[in-house]
Amino acid sequence: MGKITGKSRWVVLAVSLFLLAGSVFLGRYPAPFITGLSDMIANDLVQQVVLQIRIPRILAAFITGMVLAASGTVFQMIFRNPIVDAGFLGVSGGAAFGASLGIVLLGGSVAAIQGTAALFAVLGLGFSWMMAVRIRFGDWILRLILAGIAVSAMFASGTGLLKYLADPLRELPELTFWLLGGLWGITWTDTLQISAVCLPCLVIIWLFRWRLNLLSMQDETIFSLVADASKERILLLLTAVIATSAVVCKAGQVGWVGLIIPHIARRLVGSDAQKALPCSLILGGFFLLFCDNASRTLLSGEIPLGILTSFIGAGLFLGLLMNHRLLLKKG
Amino acid sequence: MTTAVSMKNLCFSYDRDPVISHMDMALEKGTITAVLGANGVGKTTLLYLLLGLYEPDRGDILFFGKPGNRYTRGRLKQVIGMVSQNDTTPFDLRVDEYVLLGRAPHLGLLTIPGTADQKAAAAALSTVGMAHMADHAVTRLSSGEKQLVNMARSLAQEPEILLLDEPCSHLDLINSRQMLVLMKTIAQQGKTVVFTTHDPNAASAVADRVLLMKKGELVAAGTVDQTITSDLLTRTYGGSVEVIRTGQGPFVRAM
Repeated sequence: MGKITGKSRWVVLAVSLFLLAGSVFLGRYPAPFITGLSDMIANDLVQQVVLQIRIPRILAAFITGMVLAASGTVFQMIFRNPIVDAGFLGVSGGAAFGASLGIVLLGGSVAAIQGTAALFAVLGLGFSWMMAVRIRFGDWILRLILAGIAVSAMFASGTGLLKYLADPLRELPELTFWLLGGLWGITWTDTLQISAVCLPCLVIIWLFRWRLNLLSMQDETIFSLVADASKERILLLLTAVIATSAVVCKAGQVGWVGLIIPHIARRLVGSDAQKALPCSLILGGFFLLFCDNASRTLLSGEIPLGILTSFIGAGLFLGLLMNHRLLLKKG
Repeated sequence: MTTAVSMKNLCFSYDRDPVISHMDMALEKGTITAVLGANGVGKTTLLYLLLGLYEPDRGDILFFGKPGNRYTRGRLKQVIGMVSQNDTTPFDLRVDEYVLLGRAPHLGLLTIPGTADQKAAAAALSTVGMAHMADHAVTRLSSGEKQLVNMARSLAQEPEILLLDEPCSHLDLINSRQMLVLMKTIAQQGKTVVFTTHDPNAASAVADRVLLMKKGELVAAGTVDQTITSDLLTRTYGGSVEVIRTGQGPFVRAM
């Protein structure tokens, strides 16, 4: 576990730029897999595809990955639980229910889907919080997680009901594809909208990266070290939820990123969030970029992104479990 | 002498079940106070009241003559620190990274610890004799090692008043002795130490003042000679206790 030196920062930056730039050459137009530089220069339509579709999508994928990984780190550290992500707290469940509501009952416009997804993601957190306050069992962290599980289950039943009610020809395919996740319709407008919400949120989380370590301690220890831990927790949780709902609005349900990427980051640079959070951001960005590149390139049709992230994420998770390295790293 | 902690008519109860009733107490700066009693009598509750984690039902707690609410929250964290039982994190921070967290009250909200903080943390780690474990994962330490590392984290915090909840409970004979010596060293540096224990021998080994607590009442408070007696300990623990006076202080055993 070496120190992150100035030299290694430049190496990470160079590799990042190379991979981001390399993704521009991947796609299925005008031919499968690789788009030649000559095509980009000579063919106006290819230029349009690259400039108007691929580049905003690549940026959106990278930001989405960063947000999910950063939020996962925040949730895991604040809840002192290395196996939670946005799926807890009712955030993802609320967003899925909201989007389903937008598709089935509100006409399925982009604004309806995104608006209701964001609204119910925040409501999911709110419900979980209110229920946790009223539960008379266990400590605050346990109560919040139990409340989040209950709220997620309620939203899941609501989503199931909406699927049952959806028009099987018109609404159900759209609903199913949204629930499976994907970045197929992303435009520059979408990317700029995501960036406007998510980049400030990522900056806030990054600024608090060292303090995340403090917030992972026991309540009485936090109390003896931190002047106002409740405010810091609320700020970071709200920031993570707002950023998550912003990307879930556009990308649908993209699972496992927030769970697995923080683990891999901790394996690589250690558990100190001062180092693990920046590593999570970069890894999350590239993990989602890799999955999205595969999603839009491998087959003639789009592979839903959530399927790929879940398949790869679950495999990595099992790998970590079988190596006994999920919670503890050899010293 | 300066009074570090004053408790005036302190009362606290859980759902009408009194734990602390009308407690008046003054703890001098640079002294060690042992809070002694059976399990569940409210020793840890008293520490949480001092820390400010719990609000008393009635009464006041003053630190160096000022009530806790007259300090800013940030400043209060520099005045009073605590090591609780089983104090740890589920994330395998390195020992030096973990001890560095103790510097939080001395840093701005978004400030990352600098070289001076790292030096303070390293010095604290040396004081508890754990410098050689600096690069080990804190989750892989033994209970005794964790206790010492938690102590180092609190020393890095540099509080004027240090609260220790059962500091010797997970320690073997040698580590327990080391912890008691460490407490004496800290007190000699002018810090005020308050620790809970259910072991009268640990209390009599280091304490300048002993508080004997029984459910809802303070049985006695005073020096070791005044409080570590068969009569008072029998009242405190609700069972027969013998105190054998030796040249090196009292030795206590249950009958």
